[in-house]
Amino acid sequence: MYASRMRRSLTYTLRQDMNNKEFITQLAERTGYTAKDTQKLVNTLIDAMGDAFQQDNAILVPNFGVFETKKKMERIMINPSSGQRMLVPPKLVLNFKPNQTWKDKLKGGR
Amino acid sequence: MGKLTIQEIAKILVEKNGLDQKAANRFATEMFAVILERLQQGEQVKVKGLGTWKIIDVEARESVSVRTGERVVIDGHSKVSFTPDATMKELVNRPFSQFETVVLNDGVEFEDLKDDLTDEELKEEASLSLNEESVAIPEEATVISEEPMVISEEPTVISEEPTVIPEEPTVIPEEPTVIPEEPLDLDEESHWGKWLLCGLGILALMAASAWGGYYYGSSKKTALAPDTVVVKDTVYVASSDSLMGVAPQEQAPQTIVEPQPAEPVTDPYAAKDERVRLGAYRIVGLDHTVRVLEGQTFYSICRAHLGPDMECYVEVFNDLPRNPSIKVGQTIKIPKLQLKKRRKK
Repeated sequence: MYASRMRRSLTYTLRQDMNNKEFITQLAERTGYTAKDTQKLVNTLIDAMGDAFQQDNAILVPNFGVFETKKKMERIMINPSSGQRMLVPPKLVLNFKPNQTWKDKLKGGR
Repeated sequence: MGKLTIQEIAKILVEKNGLDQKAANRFATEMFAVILERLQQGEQVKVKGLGTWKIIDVEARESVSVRTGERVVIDGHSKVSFTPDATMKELVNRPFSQFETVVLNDGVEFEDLKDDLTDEELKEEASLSLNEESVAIPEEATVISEEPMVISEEPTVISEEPTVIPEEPTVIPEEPTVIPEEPLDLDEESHWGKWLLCGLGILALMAASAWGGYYYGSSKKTALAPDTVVVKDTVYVASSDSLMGVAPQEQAPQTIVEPQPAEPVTDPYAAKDERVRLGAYRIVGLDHTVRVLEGQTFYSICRAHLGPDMECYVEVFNDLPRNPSIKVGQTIKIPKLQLKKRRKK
């Protein structure tokens, strides 16, 4: 149990995670725009997605997945350390569901 | 709620950035292709303004098959987790952004209130201002004047209250447990005023619902009334040196103190059994008597004459113990029942 956790944390530190900058440069390479333009285009795209979410729309990305908003009901939460009870308000959250084929690929190759 | 494809989203690139539709589509699909590619290499991908994707390993675990009830092992696998960026999260949640998490005081029960409060009312609660508060209190004042009228009309309704009052002392000891929590809030100076307002607003609504509870006749709610007011008091005392006016403070206790002396009438049946006290009906007299026949049980008789789950009224009316054993030839008095008045507040 602990060993596997250790191993995983080790792989996390060794692995190079992709941050936004890297993402933009790679996207720029593939599309042929400059990094600056790419960032601008991505930003407009994300803004448009945000607008769509606000109108309660789901966004379907082929071969990738679905973004959708979900309503979470209000609930009563108890702070375990102080025992205080809090009323947590209802929330709208953004949810992402990966494409089925991609999911299957993940399940198989570990 | 509609479903949009990424192509429709990509149209914005055509409008805003002067790409042609084909290039816009390509750009959008490339964008997600890059994310997907990196993810499949087992890396985490972060896109500013949208969110972070991660591949998470799920360890094998045991479960129970829904169909057969057998124990099955779910193999360990990877799954995709997506965490929206803070800005995106806020954007999506904007319709509900005015809500804040509220600390509930001890003894404040929401279970039975939830039925009455619609979402809109809850919204109101959250945004209750001082003005609304002062409106709520005059309402209570008018209730006091109504109270004597009701007593003359239906004396038996009030009779429930003596049975409720003994509960009050048990509530008051909780008071000290409420007060220590108050300084906790005080530490958060910035939020404190708002929280207090919200708390007071809720309490004011609860007090309002409490007098509605008298008419409801359910002593669960009437028990709530003294409870909440006690809490309310402590809140006011704690805040008397702050911005809050002291004027409403005196009115709150009055609403509860006044009805108490006016409850000398007691329903003798209600006092015997709490099921009768809390039930929807009250016994107003003898309806008829029945003689127990061969093969009849107490419950079958009650069910035949009054309906299911009405045994308690017969038990009390006949001075029988709970789950009584009856003999053939015994006479049982069937009480005449009257529905306790229920009124919407």
